Amino acid sequence: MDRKQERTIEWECQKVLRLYYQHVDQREYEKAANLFTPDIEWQALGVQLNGREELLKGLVAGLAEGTIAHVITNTVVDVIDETHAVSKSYNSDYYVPGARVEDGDGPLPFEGPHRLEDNYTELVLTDEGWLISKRDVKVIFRRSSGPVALESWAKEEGKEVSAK
Amino acid sequence: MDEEQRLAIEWDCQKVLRQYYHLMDQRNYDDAVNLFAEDVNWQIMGLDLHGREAVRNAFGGLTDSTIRHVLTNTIVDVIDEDHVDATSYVTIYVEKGFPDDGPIPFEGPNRLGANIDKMVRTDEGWRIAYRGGQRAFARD
Repeated sequence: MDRKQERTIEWECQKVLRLYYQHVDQREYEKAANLFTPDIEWQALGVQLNGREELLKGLVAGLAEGTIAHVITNTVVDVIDETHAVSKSYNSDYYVPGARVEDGDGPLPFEGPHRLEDNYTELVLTDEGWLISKRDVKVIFRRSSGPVALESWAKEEGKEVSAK
Repeated sequence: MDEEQRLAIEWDCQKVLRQYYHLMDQRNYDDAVNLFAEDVNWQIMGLDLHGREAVRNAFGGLTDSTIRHVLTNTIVDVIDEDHVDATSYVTIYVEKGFPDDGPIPFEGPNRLGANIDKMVRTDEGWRIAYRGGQRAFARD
């Protein structure tokens, strides 16, 4: 594979990552889940979700009642071969729980990002295009506050929530 | 140089700039410094350093803290096939402690500034030959 082919893959994979956050931030959770492989291994905020169906439940439970904007930066995609790639990014997450911006008549008050995360992602080329097959999110910085909706939901579901 | 070549250079240089901060933030200073040209001139943070060794010796001061450099607004201007200029914003988050046992409490970014880079094509790939810039905002 030459560098030109690699650049094309890097571009397409970056687009998938950005599209994912566009969908979740716009509450298009099914479209977001369909950017993952059916056997996706997903971990964020110490919550492990496996498979598209469980991921979709987690996205709805974690995000539907609040407002969030995932600002993705520093994305580096490294191509492994024609059908596999890995990427690293940072996420600055702006988050207000329990309030949907579209239900009010103006912006929600905020004090800056709620958390900053390291993202590691594996992508594979499928018949549906490039999809995310593994996602691991490590929270580096976080505002002092209570658990977010995803963490509360996971505990209610009896899932183990690790300190990530 | 045609449009396709120009876009390819812009893409590859952006990747180097992003890769640099991943390496720095993971404390992989030896690999990070290799993304500079051998005769790099570093003029930022009040320093005027020349050469990789001098820059490498300046790294590693944050022994008790965790830092993330959030790189945005990057524009790469291609001068010719072997030279580019680039500008970016860097938003810096730095707090004492390490995230191994859980997230580190924070109140937002500590600094925001602009980077001005000159890059050259070398046998090792695109490398940063000059780094300058200005820190515009600081919260410390």
